[in-house]
Amino acid sequence: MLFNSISFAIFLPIVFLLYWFGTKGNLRLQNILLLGSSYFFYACWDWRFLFLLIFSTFLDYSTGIKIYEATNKSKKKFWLWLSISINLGFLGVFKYYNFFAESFADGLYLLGLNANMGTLNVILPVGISFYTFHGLSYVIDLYNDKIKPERNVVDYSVFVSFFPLLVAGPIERATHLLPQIINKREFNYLKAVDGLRQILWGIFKKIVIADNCAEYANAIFNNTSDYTGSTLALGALFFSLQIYGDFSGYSDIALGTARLFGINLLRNFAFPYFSRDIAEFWRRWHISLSTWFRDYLYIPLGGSKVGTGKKIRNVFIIFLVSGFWHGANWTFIAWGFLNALYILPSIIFKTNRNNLDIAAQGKMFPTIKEFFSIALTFGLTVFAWIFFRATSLSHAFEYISKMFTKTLFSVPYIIEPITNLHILPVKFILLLVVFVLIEWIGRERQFAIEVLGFKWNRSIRWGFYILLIVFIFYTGNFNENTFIYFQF
Amino acid sequence: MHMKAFIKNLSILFFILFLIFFSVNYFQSFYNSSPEHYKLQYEEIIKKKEKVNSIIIGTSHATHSIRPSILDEQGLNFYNFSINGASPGFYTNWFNELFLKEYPIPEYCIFSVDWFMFDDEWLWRHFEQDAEYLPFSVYSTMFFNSQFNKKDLIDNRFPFLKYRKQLTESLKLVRGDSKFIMKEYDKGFVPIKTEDKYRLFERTESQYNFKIKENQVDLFDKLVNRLKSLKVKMIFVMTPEYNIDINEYKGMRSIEIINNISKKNNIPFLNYNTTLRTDLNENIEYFDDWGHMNAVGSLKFSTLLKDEIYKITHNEILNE
Repeated sequence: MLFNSISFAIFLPIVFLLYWFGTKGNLRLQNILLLGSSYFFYACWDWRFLFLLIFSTFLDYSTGIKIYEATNKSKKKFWLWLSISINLGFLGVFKYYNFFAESFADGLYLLGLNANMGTLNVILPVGISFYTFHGLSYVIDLYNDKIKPERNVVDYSVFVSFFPLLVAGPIERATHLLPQIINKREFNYLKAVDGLRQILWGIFKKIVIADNCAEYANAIFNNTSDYTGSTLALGALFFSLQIYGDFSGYSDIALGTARLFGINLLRNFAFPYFSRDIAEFWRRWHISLSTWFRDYLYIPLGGSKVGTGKKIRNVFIIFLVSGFWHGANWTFIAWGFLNALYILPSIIFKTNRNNLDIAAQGKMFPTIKEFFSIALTFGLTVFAWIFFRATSLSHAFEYISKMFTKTLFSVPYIIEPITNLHILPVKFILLLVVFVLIEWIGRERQFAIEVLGFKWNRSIRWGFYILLIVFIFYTGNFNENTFIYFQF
Repeated sequence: MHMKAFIKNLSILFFILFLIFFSVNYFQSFYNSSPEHYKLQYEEIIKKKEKVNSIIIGTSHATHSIRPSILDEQGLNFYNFSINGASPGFYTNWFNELFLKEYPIPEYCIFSVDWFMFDDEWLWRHFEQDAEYLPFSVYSTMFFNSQFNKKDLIDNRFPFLKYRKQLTESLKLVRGDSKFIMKEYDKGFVPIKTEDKYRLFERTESQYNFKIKENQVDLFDKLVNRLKSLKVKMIFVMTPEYNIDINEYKGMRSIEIINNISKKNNIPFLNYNTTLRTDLNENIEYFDDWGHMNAVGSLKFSTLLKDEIYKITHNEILNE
């Protein structure tokens, strides 16, 4: 069930009404309802994988208790590694087996040997990377004595499976989400309205920005050889806005939906394209994953409190693992490697925490220095996204080599599929400019339209919301396109 | 209290949105650029305004080439139900879900065939796309039939959804597609108004590389058998195309398939590009593009076809 589908538009109001009216505020019933609806939500993809989700939940639930009750360190460690191994084992089989088998066979072929490792004809269970990391953070926190185990199996299951975050995050922490699940929740008007506003903005970002950008980005990336350098640059730009609109739109819908149920999820995006350096970008992009890697990998490896050599090693480990987390393809690893190269100077020279505030905070316009820093960071990010979007490394290199030619300075065009006419979607590009401006204006908030119109007359504010809905309706792409991060 | 206010405000918001979309829906049910003859063709099935005992089905090549009132001169009463982009798959659904339930079984059926008819990427029309014209009983049956795409059924049922991307055209009070001369509408037939910018007398590369989908061949075969079992007398007709070498047709597997089905079922096949080829095929003045005849061409061709139909219906079976 997609957030941008008719079925979700029916599912959400039903669960909402049952949650607040059907349970009469009984926390037990509310959590049972959330669990049941979350499992239903997940089963709509493929009910067979529901068993995997339940197994993973029970594994972390029971090993969590075992870790807590273990009388000595070695027993704790045993239960921790049992959980980690099984969790990562599943991830390995479902997500990475084919990649390793094929890469190994390719490697042997280069050495003149023929080997057929065989590939598994398996479907990647949706959300496996997210709920696996979710569960891992729980057992690692227990091992480190940061939390106590949750003994109520329903509450723990809701923590893992709460439907707004189940398939693409944010990757929650037990310290943040579990207390909200086990404590009584009251309906809060302002929170619910805020949630609706965030859902609306998320839908706009997904359906109007991301899915329309996708049409152009796909046309350009899928026909690289047909286009000039300037069009390929435009294609990379479209993809950058597509992936931002897609994932941050998804996160907005997830956060807004959770708010309707009185639950606050971790923020996942904080206007990353207005970052002034790559380190800031990574503090603002997919925050829940970046902080996960920081807390459970980077810091245990020594983080930045080690010698320069180890620091460099840690940075590469983090970004290569992060790239690999996104998918079993060398393109993602190259994307991670490129980002490691980008961030490395700031880690070595300790300038990675230079930009902890918001760009041009409290001001309408950035300084010239800020503007160029943002533009440079954005340019580097767009370049890296080429690897992320390309189907293979050779495709990425072909794309880049074709992009950096004399035609980079020509007028870009897109070939219309049926008429074969060369067009430039000027109106859509103008819409993207307006979108970026709204995001810039709202960059100090949780999401761009969080407080937009608060000072307006009520009827004007309502008019704005209605206009936005009508605008989404008439300009959106309603093909129920899946979210990019569902494949991870 | 807060919850009450939340529900109340949300209800008001949805009510306003409902009013907006309801009005747009009503407006766009009149003002849209969908060809008007689609609606009339479906209306005939539901309202049965004409006295009909024979039908014509096929693609747009037949819609713009075969004039029922000319064919009627030899004694039968035809209605042209052929529609743009319709494949055998489309007609299977059209026949089973709508025609059979709403219309009397015809005596004759002219099945207009094309060499590209088994390529369902080329013939893009799905029956769900015409949901707007279907009676509620047919629509609701289809809605609960897993064979049909529910999203397409919803998107195509309501004008405000179907013509979502045409709002600016609708606001200009556009009605129908100006490409068709509606004042000459004749029981499903409608002539094309020739506009130079649309004229294409050379086939494109993709049109040369058409596909033959086995499921479409199978559906065609089954549909023919179904009509036969209902005692409908069929005639295959391939309408004239402009200036395509006769030898090209001979090498086409799709023509061979149609020929085989025709022979197997003893159905006359009137191929106006091979055996019944005339000087009509070489005269650009009769065509709007390489595959569609214009108003003058359709007059000429319908007269020729009338004579052949007369021979057939009077037991002079002509077969390839």
